[in-house]
Amino acid sequence: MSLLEVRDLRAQFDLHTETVEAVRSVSFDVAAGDSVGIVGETGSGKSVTVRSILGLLRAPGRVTGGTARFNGDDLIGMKPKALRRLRGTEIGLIPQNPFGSLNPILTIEKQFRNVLGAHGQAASRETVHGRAVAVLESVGISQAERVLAGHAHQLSGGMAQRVAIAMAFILEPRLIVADEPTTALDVTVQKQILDLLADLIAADQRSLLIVTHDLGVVANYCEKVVVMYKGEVVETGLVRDVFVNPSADYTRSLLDSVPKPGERW
Amino acid sequence: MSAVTTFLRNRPGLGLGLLILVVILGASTFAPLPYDPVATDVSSTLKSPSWEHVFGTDRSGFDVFSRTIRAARVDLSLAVVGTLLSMVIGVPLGLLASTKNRWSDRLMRGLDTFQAFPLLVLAIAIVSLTGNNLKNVVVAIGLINTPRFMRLVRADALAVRESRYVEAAISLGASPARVLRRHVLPNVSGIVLVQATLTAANAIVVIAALSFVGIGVTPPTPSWGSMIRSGTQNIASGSWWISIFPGLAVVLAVWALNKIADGVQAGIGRSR
Repeated sequence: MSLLEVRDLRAQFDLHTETVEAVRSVSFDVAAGDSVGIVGETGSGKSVTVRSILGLLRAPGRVTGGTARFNGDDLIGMKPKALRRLRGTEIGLIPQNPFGSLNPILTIEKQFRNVLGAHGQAASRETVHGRAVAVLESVGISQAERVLAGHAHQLSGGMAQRVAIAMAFILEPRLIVADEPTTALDVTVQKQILDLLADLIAADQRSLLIVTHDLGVVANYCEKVVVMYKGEVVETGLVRDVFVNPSADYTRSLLDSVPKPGERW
Repeated sequence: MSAVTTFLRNRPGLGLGLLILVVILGASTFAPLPYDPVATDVSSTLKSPSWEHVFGTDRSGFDVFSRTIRAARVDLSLAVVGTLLSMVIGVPLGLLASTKNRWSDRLMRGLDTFQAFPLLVLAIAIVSLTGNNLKNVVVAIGLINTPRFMRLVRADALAVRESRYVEAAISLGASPARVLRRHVLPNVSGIVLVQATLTAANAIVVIAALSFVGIGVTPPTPSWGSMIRSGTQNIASGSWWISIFPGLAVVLAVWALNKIADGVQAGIGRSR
């Protein structure tokens, strides 16, 4: 049994004039210790898929069918309270835009306290502080004290994403879901963040589900890939198989669309 | 301390407003008054302003200066307590009304109906019906201003709820109540402070209006509204000073509070 088993997942947006089926019968697995990449172009339904799994889909969007079993329990039909307990502790989300995901008016320390407090683990200021410092150091922030005392706007993009990663990791979830974790960052820090993420995942045998439109990210950091197009999974398999010998036409065109150095001349 | 002084130096209006308010409050509370504000002197009635009586005296022989200063005590404290009351009721209701369900819609429709009443008339009606005492004046001030806080907090909370950091908090396991308290409330607190200042300014005017029509603060306790009223009978015969000075005091207090509101608003990065 895999850690996460998504079967026949469907989600749609009920708009005034029409109904848009954003996710149509999506199935894939994430095994313990696996890194799985969901790739696809904008609008392919990859973000809606992970939002549906995490119960973060907002009206007018809604999940219309399928299951997403995490450790055997179906996340789709789960009671809000039970799902809330899993969020953060079992499944951590790393958001796309680190600045947007940090509250602009609270200090970073206070936000760590909120994350721990949501799970009844903010017993004393000292323990919260100690855990926050430890997790910030584990994501490569050397001046943890200074970062904790400051606000989000004082951080660089890379630093802010490290803080967001630290928040996702502080409760040691087994599955990390990263929704375009480097899209909002400078190219120069993208690799650092991805390397960091890969190290953190590998160190404790965690699983990673990463949503991206960047095939390079999948090629370098994932073992398995799920290729999505227009709300459907067109191909899934091991990265080396899919990239070397794609079976779907769409995957082939996606691979061909990557600019390669030297092609121009 | 230097951060505070820099903050104030960049906002002279805010500093000036605070200074005026502190002077008004300090004078009404601690300053020695030339005459007893609640004692009449039948030997000197309707005296025009002089060195003896700076603001003159009224028909009963009250010293207008002493009463104008002392009136700030009751007028400002009623305004502040009334504002706090409306804030304490309005902010939580506004937060709750920002959740999307049918109760919040009904609450907002009810609010529309409530606000369709002319608020000053409503305040007069509340005090007349419940009994003319200071507690009921505070309740009336609080009640008529509660919708302001509700609407403001709800509108802001709706925006904050859509933000990515609220989604991030939810994705890490925060409950709806927790999101409201830890993320939405801190983000609306600045604008609530601005609204509170403006509401206090409005409350001063409402209290003066209530006292002017003879409810709320009753003589001999000095209040700006009742002083203006007592002077109206003598204005036609040339005794302008009885109404003018308490009237100016109202203007000054309201202006100072508006200046403070403007400064705070600029300070939290929003302009009206």
